[in-house]
Amino acid sequence: MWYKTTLREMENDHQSEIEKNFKPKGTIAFIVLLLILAAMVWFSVYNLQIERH
Amino acid sequence: MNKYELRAIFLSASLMGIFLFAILYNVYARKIDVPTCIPYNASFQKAEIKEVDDLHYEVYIIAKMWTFDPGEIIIPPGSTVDFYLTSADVVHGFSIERKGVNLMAVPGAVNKVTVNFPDYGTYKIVCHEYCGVGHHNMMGKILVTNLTN
Amino acid sequence: MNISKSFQRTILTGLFMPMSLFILGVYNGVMQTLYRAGVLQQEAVAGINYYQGLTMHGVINAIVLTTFFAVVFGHVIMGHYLKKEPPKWSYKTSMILMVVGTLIDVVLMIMGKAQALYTFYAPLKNSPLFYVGTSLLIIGSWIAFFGWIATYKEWRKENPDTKMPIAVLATFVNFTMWVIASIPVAYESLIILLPWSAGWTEDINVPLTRMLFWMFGHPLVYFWLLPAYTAFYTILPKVSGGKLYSGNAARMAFLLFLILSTPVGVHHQFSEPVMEQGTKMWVSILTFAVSIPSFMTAFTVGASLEVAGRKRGAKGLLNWMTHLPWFDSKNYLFGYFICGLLLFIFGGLSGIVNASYALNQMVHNTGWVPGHFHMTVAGPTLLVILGMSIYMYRKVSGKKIKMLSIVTIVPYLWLIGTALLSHGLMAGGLMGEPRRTNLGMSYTNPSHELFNQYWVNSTTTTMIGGIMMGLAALLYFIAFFSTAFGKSTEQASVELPEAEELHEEKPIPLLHNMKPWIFVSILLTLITYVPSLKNVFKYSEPVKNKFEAVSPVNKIESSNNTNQIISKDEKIE
Repeated sequence: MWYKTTLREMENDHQSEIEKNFKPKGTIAFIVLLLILAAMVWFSVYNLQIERH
Repeated sequence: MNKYELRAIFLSASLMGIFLFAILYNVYARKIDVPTCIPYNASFQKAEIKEVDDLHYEVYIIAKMWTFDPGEIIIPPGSTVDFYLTSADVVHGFSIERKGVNLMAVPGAVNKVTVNFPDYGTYKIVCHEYCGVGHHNMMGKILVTNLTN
Repeated sequence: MNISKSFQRTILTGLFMPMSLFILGVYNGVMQTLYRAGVLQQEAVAGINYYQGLTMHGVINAIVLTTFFAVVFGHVIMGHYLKKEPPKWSYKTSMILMVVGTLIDVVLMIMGKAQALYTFYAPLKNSPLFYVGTSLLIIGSWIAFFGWIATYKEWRKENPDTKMPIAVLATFVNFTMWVIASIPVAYESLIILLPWSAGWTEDINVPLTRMLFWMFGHPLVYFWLLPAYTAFYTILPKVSGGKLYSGNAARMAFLLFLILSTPVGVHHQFSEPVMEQGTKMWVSILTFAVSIPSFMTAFTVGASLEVAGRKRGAKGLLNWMTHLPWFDSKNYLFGYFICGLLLFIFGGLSGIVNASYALNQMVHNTGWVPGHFHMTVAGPTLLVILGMSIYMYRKVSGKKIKMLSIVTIVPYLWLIGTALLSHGLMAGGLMGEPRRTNLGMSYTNPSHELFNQYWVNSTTTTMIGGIMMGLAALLYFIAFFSTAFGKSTEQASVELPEAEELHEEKPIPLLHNMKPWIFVSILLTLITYVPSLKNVFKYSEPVKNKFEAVSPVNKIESSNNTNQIISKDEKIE
């Protein structure tokens, strides 16, 4: 049916819109959290070393 | 390279820079460093505890299958000990519990580290490098006490 | 692409054989957790002692399985992207050498003639044939690489203007690094250890052998990691429904590994004598630098997944992570890849602790180290190996996958098991729990004078994790071998899911030429290792030592008194 083709075309256009305008803001948020976790792990071991030295 | 990617690289590199600074601070301000290198010679194979000065000791310690020699080191609290560590046979580990001392005993080489013992207590020395079937029984002891043997 | 019977047989052998040996590797892994928790308080079970089992676990899982996979994955990548088979001489010779070398090692390990662990540190000796076997395995893998170079040259002539596909670049980077890195260990094994073990030479400079081993030992872990990264960049975006965020970033990350993997080997030697503080500080800094391409990978792969999540309708800052094909049996590869990535978060971070100069003293040779590497080599590397092995077996044999729901669930079970295992190991490690030690004989045996209560808690957690991992592996084996023994229903083919790039990017010429990177790689290696070699000769001496694990008696009779210990009575107090 003609409307199914149009729906599909609209969906494809929507998908290409998403791809074209994509900005990885969520990934930057993830990286920031990752680096915070890295600092927490690292400085915990660092402090343990100072305690024991 | 796009700006988000560069941002991610910049943030990660900055964190690594912070870690490096913290490491260097420990080396210079707190004297927390990796072992000192000394050229090896055969005299390091002689096990010995030497009192160099008041509360300053030199311990020449040999790791061998499957014990440390000397196996027991008795020192008063407040002592500073220079350990000179080598192996008579294969590679062994040398880890003093609760003191953050962690060394390898390698035959043909000598490892030096200086450790302070301000408090009373017993510190076990564990071998943590596989050295044969007796490895899991290999242990030494440091007794920080005023009683002499 | 359809393939010849000969190529098919080579690939299937290269998948089937290591996976069969992996059964033995997993068994020994699970057993170790039982010994360490003190559930077993004995030297051996079924004729295999703890350290023998540990040697088998390390060699099979970390050298045999990983090397075979890198080669087979490489064959399939070349076949899929270049649409050519490598020359028959290269893939046949390569497979024969690898199989023969592996069999030699496996037989020797089962016989107890090679139980110096997978690092085979001198002066603990293995049978001389062990060094031969390992060298055959490694050299066999080089030969596969040489065949791919020939194939690529042919493809280049026919396709002068096409960019080198990312997966092909990644494979070439990986194997170039591998060849450069395995030269020192080949020298160590064949020129130093083999004659010494066979009794033709007596002197051995132990620090020299260690320097050479670790010159290989660090790039070895990138040799394990890069095939996983190849899957994350070139397959994962496709199977998750996304697109590769940046092809240029992918290429740059791989090329950075080429230059930064080898010159850091000394970071495995922070607590050793002989290497100077300056050398150790230099490699610490370089290791921080090599964390950057991994952070880049976290970003690029993360962004590629975010594309997938947003295409599925996710609108929030972080909820794109949930809009991905979790637990989807039609997309089982996604599960293997994502669980690997989740483990790698902690695997990578713990690695940064290891690399941090004197901070390493907190963790060296403790349980922290296997805690770290079970979240890297037994994390993304192994999960990619498991997922891609069954995928490739299915395509190249033309047999449908059996028990698809089991195949789908395995990585999630593995994830939980490994998280528990590594948590126990790392917690124990910070309490001083040693690695490579049969703890049940002493430290976790309540009736022994060395008993340590705290290590019972950590090793018990590890044991529970280890048993879960064993179960996950068992399920995988059932599915894999059912598939392998099934009936072929399709034409054999070599193909891979291929990710598309999100945007057309401007090619950066430096990222399309390997030569300057190879040059810098060799230069940096020399900058680290010429001073390191000088350190070896300045601070150490050769010894006439040779020992078997079972006895403290030096096997070299002519050993003179330099190694004799003065008895306690003569000691000055």
